[in-house]
Order: sequence, then structure tokens, then C-alpha cells
Amino acid sequence: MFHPKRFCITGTKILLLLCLIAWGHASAHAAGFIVIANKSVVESTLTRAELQGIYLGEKVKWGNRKHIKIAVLEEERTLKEFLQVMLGKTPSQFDQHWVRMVTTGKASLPPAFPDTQQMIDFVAKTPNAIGFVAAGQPGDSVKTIAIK
Amino acid sequence: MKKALTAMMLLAFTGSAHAVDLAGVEIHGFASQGYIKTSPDNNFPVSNSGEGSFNFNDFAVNFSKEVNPDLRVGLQLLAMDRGSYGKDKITLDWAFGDYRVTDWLGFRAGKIKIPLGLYNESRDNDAARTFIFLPQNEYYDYERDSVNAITGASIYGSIPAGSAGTVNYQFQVGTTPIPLDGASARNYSAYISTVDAPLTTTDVNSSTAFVHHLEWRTPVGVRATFSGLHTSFDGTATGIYTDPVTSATTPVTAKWKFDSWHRYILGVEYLWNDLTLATEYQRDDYTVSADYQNPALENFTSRQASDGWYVSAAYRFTDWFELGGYYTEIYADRHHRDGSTFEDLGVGAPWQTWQKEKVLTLRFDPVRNLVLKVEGHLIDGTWNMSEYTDASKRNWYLVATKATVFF
Repeated sequence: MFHPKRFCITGTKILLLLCLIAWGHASAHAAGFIVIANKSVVESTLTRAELQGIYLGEKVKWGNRKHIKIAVLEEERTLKEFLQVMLGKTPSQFDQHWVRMVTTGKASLPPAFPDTQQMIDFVAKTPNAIGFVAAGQPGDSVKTIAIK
Repeated sequence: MKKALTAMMLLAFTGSAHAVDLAGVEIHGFASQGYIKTSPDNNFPVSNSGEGSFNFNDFAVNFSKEVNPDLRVGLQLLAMDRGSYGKDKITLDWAFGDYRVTDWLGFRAGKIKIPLGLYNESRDNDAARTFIFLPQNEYYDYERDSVNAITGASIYGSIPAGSAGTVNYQFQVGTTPIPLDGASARNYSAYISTVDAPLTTTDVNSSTAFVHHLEWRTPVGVRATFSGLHTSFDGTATGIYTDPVTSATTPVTAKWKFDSWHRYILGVEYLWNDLTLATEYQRDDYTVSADYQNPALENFTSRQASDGWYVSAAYRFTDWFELGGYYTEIYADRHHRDGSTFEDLGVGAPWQTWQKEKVLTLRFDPVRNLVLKVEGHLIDGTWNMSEYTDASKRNWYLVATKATVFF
């Protein structure tokens, strides 16, 4: 039998759960990293969805149709935070995604760098490259991309 | 050829832990060896698993090259063993050229992985998932060789959907190669064999197949997919008919057909921190017919309507340990889930028309690029074991372990 009160309680519980999920994803925006790009990149801002697409190998072109070269920083703390905040993935989920990509021939494995300076050097010298480093001053050799 | 594959893999392993790059050719691969034990009377999916078997492995190496930023080519060689099939014979798993015009439009031509459900494209690589065996309705081991890849062409792309995320699509047209010595062909033989006339497929022809796949990836960790495969295929089979009364034998040739095969899969995956939840539902509709060139056997045409679903959960407790489990149900006849049709025809017990499984998996990643797994299945029913019509245990178990190195 239909019980309006029970229906309202169940609905409220579902709504609270959805709010909790949305909060879990939205609350992580106080980032301890910055996104950097080669100075040849015309974009200065990206949406989170665009950055997700880039790091999942779905968005492969910049606005000027140049091919995007992505790079990954292996430094654990920054990597974890970047992946969780921007992609909603853990490092193991991200690794498995790229294992799937290369096993099926869809993409090349993005280069990974153990420290910030190597990442900055790669992005600085590689046209159309994008990467991420811990928050701070990345220097003048690369540009900073704002995430909307 | 097997030595060549081993040599290539050894060459690759001597390089970086991530990949090998030789003159712009990127090399990846995996080597996966397992052990499987099932209840003695129910051998699945390895033909001698009842007694415990090491005939349970998968090896692959792939090569790809970026010809220019928009154009890639590549191929993967795969060998696997499942006892009576596979036998570590090297096959061309995929090989295609890929031209990406823009984010929302790309073209591939060659032998291309078929995107069915959440995981079909990547099912070869054990390291890319939690479980050793993916749920068998959607990722049936006996069909792996026939729904693995399509030889033809595809268009694909990624379309931004604003705050709703991204929609990825793939459309494919071509033929699905069905090797005569593979599990699929053997499985099709089982459909048209009788107790008195076991048949072996001697020829298979695939008609043009169409595949469509839509994937909606939301910003909040939900990935939803809807896929379809539409095809027909036919062939011939031969065997010997033994008269049950006189024991006289006569040769049998049969022409068989799986016509108007329509498969649909709906899937949803949700990631929240270290938790992965997934569910999929698949339904198949097709017509099986057999025309026996022997008066002792009665020709038939039968409309089939099967389905199945699963729910799975996996949680990564640490960088090196993940626990997962799933529950799945599979039905040969979704209009008679109690198996009554089978029983009425007098061809078997009702439980031979379903398979219900509870699965638990431990995954360990002790060091980078190495995965170890242990998995247990408790199973009710034997529908997936149609190759082995003498499977006699309704309630049975499967235990498997696997070690995989990938690069």
C-alpha cells in the first residue's frame, strides 16, 4: 500500500544522499596544484569538464586544432589531489584507465615525471603541452591555465 | 611465432617500467598466468578446470606509432590458453589506423575492438580491472573470440555536454571474424548438436555487423553506456549420427544459421573515491536454425531470447589491496526464467537454463606493473557451459588465481 509519509521520508533520504555525493565532488575545489601549459597554447582558461576530457584522452585538440600533449606528475600528493579534484579518480583508477587506452590502441601513454622541475621543463619545451604542478610559482617558461 | 612473441615481450621488459619506445614505435603488453579449479564435473571456462589447470593464461604485445599528430597506426598480438581452445596460438587482436579530425570526429579502419558495455574493449588485460572473470553474461569467455573485434571501419568522437559532462560515441560496420578453432564456433556447434549426433563446425560465414556505442560521462563520477551489436552468421557442421536402438552410424552434415542477432547492453558505473560500483543489463534476441542432411534428425528453427544482469562493487583499501565482488544472473530464456521450456522439451533440467553467481575477488598490487588476484565463485546452474552438455552439478564452485605483469 502507498504511504505518503514513508514516500516523503524515502525521497528525503535520496535527496540527502545526492546532496552528499554532489558535496563530495564539489568540496574538493580548494586546490593545492596549478595547471600549466606551453606558451604556444592559446587557451588561458579551461573548464573542469574540458580538463577531464584532456586527461582522459577524449579531448585531443586545442582550439587552434593543434594536438594536445598531456604530461603527468608522479609526485604522490599533487597527483592524488589533481586526480581527485579534477577527474574524480584515484591514481589506481587513472592508471587503469590508461592501461585500457593503450591496450586497445586508442592512445599513447602520457609521459610521467617524478618531480616538478622535470615537468616544467617538458611542458616548456614541448609545443601544445599541458601539465600540472604543486601550487606555487612555476616560473616564466610556462603559462598558467585557470580552471573555471 | 610463440618464441617471437616471447622475445618481443622480453625486449620490451628490458626497457622502461611504463613502455618501450623504439624509433617512435611505442610498445606495451602484458603477460598473465593463472591457475583455475572448478568442481570436478563442471569444467568452465578452461576445459580441464575440474582437475585444476594451469592452461589459463593471456599474453599480448602491442606496437603503435604516431605517424603525425592526427594519424596513428598500431596492432596487438594476443595468445591465450583455455585448455581445449586458445592453446597459446598467436592471433591478431586488433590492428587499425586512426585518423582524428577533431575532438568530435575520428575515423578508424582495420580490425577494431568492439565497444560493448563498460568493459568489452579492455577485457583482454587482466590488470585493467578488479575481477579475474568479468560477469559472464556480458563478457562470456566462450564468445571472446567472436565479439572481441570487428574488421571494418568506425567513426567516433567526443562531444562536450556542458555541465552534464561528455558524450562519447562509436559506430562500427564490418564483419566479426569467427575462428573455426575458437570457443565461439565450438559453442555454436553445441546449439545444433544432439546427444546422438555431436557435430563440429567446419565453416563459418559472418554477415555485415553493426555496432553502436554511446557513453555519457558525467562530472560527478557516473559513466553510463548503451551499446548494441547487430549481426547474422551461418556455417556448416559435420559429425556422426549413432542410432540409439541399432547403434548404426551414418554421417551428418548440417547447415546452421544464427540470424538477426540483436544484442543490447545498458551499463552504469559510479566512482566515488576508492569505491567503484557498476551494473549492466544485457539482452540477446536471435533465431537459430539447423538443416540436417540426414533423415534421422529433425530440422529446427528456434527463436532465442536471453538476458542477464549483474551488480558489482570494488573498494581499494590501500595502494596495494582492493576487494571486490559481484552478483550476476543469466537466463537462456527470459520469458521462462524457471527453465520450464527446457524441461518441457525434455532436453535437460531447468537449472541448465540459468546461471547465478556470487563472486569475491582479492586484488593485490605489490609493486608497480604487477597484479596478483585470487577469486572465488559460488554458482547455481550451468547455462554458460553449453559446450559441456554433460555438466552434472547444479551447484558448483570456481576458484582462480592470476598473476599479471604489464607495461
